[in-house]
Amino acid sequence: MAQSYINERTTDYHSLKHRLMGGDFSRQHSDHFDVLNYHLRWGWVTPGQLVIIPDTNSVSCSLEEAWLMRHAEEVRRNLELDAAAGTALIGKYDLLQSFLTYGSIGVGSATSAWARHLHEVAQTLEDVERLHQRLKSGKLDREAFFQQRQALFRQLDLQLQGAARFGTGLQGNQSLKKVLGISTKSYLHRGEIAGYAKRIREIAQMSKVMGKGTYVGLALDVGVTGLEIKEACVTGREAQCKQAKYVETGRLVSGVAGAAVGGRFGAAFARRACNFVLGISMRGNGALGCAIIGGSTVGYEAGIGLGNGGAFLGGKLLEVNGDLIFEPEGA
Amino acid sequence: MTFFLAFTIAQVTSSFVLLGLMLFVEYTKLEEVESYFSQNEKVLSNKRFWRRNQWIDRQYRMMLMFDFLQDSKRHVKAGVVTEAELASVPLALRRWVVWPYYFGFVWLIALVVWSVWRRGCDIPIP
Repeated sequence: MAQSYINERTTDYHSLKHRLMGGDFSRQHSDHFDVLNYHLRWGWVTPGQLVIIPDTNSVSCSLEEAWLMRHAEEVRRNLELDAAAGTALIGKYDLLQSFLTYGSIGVGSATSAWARHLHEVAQTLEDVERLHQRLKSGKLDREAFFQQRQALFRQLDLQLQGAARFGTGLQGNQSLKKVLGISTKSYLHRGEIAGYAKRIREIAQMSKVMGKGTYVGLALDVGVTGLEIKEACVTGREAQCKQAKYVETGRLVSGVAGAAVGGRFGAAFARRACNFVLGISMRGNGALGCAIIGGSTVGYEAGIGLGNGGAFLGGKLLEVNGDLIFEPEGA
Repeated sequence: MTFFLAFTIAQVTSSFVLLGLMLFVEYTKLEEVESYFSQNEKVLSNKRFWRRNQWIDRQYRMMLMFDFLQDSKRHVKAGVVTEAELASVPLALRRWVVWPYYFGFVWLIALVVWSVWRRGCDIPIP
């Protein structure tokens, strides 16, 4: 019975043939191998290509070998369209899938929420800078300047309570003035607060990146589905390929819905729990941190959980003569 | 059809129903319920923070309304909302805000039950 093999790394045709067929094979067997693997380029065989190993007891072509040849040709055509895909396909499934799990959208939506928080922090910092500019240009007297800056620092203090400093680069328990490196004297002398503009840019950049969290999460979820289906289909197993389409599509659709619903209610639940159990103030920003941590954790878990539910239901779908049939017993 | 399969169908279907319900409430009832807190400092600052009117903004604004209406006493005690403001919200509107969250919490518990059941009985996922 013929077997198929997926080439793992770029190798030359003849050494691949010798490795798969063993040392001593007849001329007839060698020709048989060449006929079955006509789709492979003479010279180098690239990663991801389907190699057909003929039955050593027979030199005639069987139906099964013809079926494998058809699929091997299809794989070759697809790999030619995207040369890098073959390399990415081989050996990286497990690695990619461990990163790209179905809960990514749950985490993604939480990072989007955090982006808003960072955006607010960046805005307050810009206000502080504008205040310094007004003082320097003489539009503001010193007393009013100190009063207004104090108010902005209080606002910043509230915005950066506890875990809310994450992503701002403003670590430690020192005073904000010290952490930010703000000195009125040095500003008036040099016309800029050392490193301040850079810090604002960094926070704004972080906010921008995290703001795309939901879309990145969704793209990752769709990406992992594509990988799963591709993995099943590239090996030339028709039944598994068809099933993977239903199973993985079910997993994706349910996973995204689960992460969206779980993230939403997880955030609400965590907010309440923080207020109630930890006694976090209802006035400050602490509840936002709780909501984001709760939302991302529950969104992630719910995405995976409900994704499994969708995959379970997808596995019950059968295709009979082009019609989709739901088979509860899985027969 | 096994009970586990029926549970799975109900769980998956209800997630879409819940998602639809939450989006409906956030896009049709949010402004109405917020109008009863138009002078409230916390609501105003929350609206400023979540001002972009995207789905995530509405989600977090609605969450505050749920907090106010579901845990009124603690919020009144903390001084972030007044009893008069809370009393002005009609009962039907209050239910539109609060009940989807209750369903959501039940949904989360059911998902935990489903996961424990699946692992406990070692039900294979393809």
